[in-house]
Amino acid sequence: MEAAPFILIDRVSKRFGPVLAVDAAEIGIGRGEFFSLLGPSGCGKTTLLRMLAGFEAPSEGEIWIDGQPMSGVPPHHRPTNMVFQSYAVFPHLSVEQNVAYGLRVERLTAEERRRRVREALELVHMAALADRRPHQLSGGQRQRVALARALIKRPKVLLLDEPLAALDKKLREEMQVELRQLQRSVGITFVFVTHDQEEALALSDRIAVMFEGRIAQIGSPRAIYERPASRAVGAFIGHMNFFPAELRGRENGELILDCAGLGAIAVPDRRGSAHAAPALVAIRPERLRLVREPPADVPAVPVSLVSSAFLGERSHHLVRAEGLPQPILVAAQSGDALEDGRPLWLVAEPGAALLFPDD
Amino acid sequence: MIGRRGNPWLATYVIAGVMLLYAPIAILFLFSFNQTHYLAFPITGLTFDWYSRMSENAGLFTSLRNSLQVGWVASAVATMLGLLGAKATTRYRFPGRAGSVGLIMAPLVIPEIILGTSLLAFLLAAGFNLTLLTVTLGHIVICTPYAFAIMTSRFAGFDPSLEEASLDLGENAIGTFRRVTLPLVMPGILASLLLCFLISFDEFLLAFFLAGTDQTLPVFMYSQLRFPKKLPEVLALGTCIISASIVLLVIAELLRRRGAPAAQD
Amino acid sequence: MTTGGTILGRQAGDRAFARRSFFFGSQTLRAYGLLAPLLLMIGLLLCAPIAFTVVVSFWTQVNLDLERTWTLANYVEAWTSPVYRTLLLRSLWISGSVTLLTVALAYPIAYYVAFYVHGRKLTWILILTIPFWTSYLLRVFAWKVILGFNGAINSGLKSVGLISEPLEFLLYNPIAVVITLTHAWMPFAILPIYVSLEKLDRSLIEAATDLGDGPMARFLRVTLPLSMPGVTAAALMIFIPTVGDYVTPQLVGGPDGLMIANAIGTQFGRSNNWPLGSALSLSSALIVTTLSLGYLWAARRAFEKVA
Repeated sequence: MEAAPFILIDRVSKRFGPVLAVDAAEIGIGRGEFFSLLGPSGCGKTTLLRMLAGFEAPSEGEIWIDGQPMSGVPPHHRPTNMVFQSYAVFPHLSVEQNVAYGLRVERLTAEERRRRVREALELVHMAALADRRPHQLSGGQRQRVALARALIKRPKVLLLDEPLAALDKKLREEMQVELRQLQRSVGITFVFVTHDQEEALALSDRIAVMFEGRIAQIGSPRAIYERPASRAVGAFIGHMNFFPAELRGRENGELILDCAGLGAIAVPDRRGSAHAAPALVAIRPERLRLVREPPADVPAVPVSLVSSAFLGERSHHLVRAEGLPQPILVAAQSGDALEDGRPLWLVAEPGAALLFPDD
Repeated sequence: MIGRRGNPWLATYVIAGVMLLYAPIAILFLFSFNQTHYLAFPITGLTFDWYSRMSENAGLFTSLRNSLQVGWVASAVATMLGLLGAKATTRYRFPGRAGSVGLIMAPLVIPEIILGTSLLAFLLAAGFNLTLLTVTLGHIVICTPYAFAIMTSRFAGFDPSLEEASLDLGENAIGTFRRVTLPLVMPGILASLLLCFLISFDEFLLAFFLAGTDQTLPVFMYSQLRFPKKLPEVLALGTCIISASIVLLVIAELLRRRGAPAAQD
Repeated sequence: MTTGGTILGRQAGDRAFARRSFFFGSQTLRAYGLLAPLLLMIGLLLCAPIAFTVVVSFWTQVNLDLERTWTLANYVEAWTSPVYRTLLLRSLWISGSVTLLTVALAYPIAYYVAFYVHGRKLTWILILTIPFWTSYLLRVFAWKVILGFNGAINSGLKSVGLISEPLEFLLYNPIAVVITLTHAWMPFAILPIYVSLEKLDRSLIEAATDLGDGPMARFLRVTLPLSMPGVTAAALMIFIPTVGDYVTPQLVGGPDGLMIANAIGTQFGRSNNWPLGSALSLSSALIVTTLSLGYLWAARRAFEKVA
């Protein structure tokens, strides 16, 4: 990361009465980055976004955008524009008037204004519907109007508050692709709030995961998925199997753990810390395999099939292993059905196991 | 599950009910055209006499002017108060919010006789003379809950992020009020003005207690009811008032609906 | 693009803004700022007059002056005099009957509009509520015309030969008051019942049918209990104001149909006894409030039992 990030959220906290909505958040966002704030509802991600926009003032800390401190700068003087969750398209104005709304304060010639509106509408493929009223538009079209209306201001930062949450699945996936392309073509920094982890993984350059007002982890989608910083992050992003484990010993820089249900597992000793206390081993479902014969070279445990769900190209199998009360989820490429009563063995890929303190 | 038309008895009952609701009004209309001043069947012949006599009644026009004046001021003040109050209770969370709403709506559930007599005693004791001003004050009290209710539903149906979006796009607070808030609540303001005006214009009991020598139209009509020969004229006047009320009500309703796109979706 | 000067200028301005918004920043402060004129109006024109009435009810009227020594004499008179007791009891039963009748008659209409009207519901509601907003005085007067000795019903029946002498029992009695009030308040009852029926989730009725309830059973076990909030609201919104109705008993009640409001009005008019009038006012308000709260409590209990 650069020495001076484009947006710096410097130990920002926000209190609403006794509630600490955002707790000392520290984030640096680079110029032109697609940055997501991801977390369950109520985690403070929208409050953080609203502090960037200027609708809420931080209780502590400072927000810097492009080298300028933002405290005391009202929303209408900030170099940010926002796409609201409800889109907030003005119902009494046409599409064109909505898009042109923010240009009034910019004192443009009529010609220049028309050109800018046309460009913005073309950018979001809405030029043909310029005269429509918002109630004649679909959700996806309103969303495009909201985007064009914000982008026409040429903001340094575009803030998006769950913009895809109200769309149905198919349209949401199309808009994801379009948003990503749009962000690349305009080159504006996007700060994107979502509770949908798949959306965050698909769109972002980097993600900040938030729980209960605190930043739990910041990193690239791959880093967050493959190396979650905590048990909570691992459980929130994708599926994760957890196994209570106890430390047996160390061997060649690896920790050997005795896992309930899995037996002995080797985990790289990354932190070099002593996991004497009870620990948790976590393994993604796609890094587990079910086999018919116990392999000779790697450890395997016998399991019984609880249920299978066919999901198209993948299938999810729930299996039960001795010593572990909850079933284990295994994701596999769809192949032959497994419900024939023959014995099954569970194998973990080498290096698949992650270790967390059991908190 | 439930049939489209339902039970024919129910439909018949509803039609009969609607007709009964309007029957007394229809009878007033009918007798206002009757030739004799006896309000009885059979109708002997139709005439416009009562209407022309009504239009020559000076007392009627004085009281009509009084009513218009009271109605206009009371509806403007009530709507203004309702607009501010509704903005406060829908846009902000604050201690005492539920209590404030209860207090604002209270005049709806206080019998008018108590409202009227206590206002009368209080205003006289406070040194007021009974004039159109005291009537107007009384009407502001009873109109405000309606204005507040209309404006509250207006503000509740209007996404607060619209105002934020305007600020976000570079408008200041005044520009936002002028370009976003006002156009969006305007149908509610007009509906509230019309409804409050109608309530004040029709209101009898408060005006009866609070008006001195300056009568409003309902008080004037009430005073005329004692003279049997004047009755057809009162009916002619009533026909005009009710017809005008219905027109204004329909306009108010259309305005209220126009501003609520959610209801049309 | 931006020079140092404008940046500095803007920052100075923004700091001033920050100070201002800190001062006005509290939601509570801003809300009460907006509410102030409204609350002031309510305080001066509603709370103060009623507080004054409470005070006056403990005073004594001496000719044109108020004697300011505290006394309970007005309440003693209000609660013991047979005249006022009769009027009060009559007001309560008239108003109670009106409430029952109105709700019972309005329910099927609201039900019809909520379940069988498709598309033009709001127009129907408008048609049903318009009469409520047109001159109350004239509608009451219309009933005087209809029920009178030489009124529409008598003269109509006579002209078609059904009766030879006018029916005298139609006007100037409590029944005439009940009829007139029921008609006048009907539209007001339709509205809350309609709203509660309209909000009712249709799949609940389908679920009751699916679980084996016939039309009557599902009405009694699902629709009616779930529309009780609307019925309760309608009942209270009619009972409370009608107890204090003045115009109807005055115009169609006759001497046997007068109600408590007429007595209160007289004390503030001809009899000029504010303290007694205030005591009557407050006593009836107290009784109505007690009854309403009792009803609310009973309705909630009944609802819990059904649910």
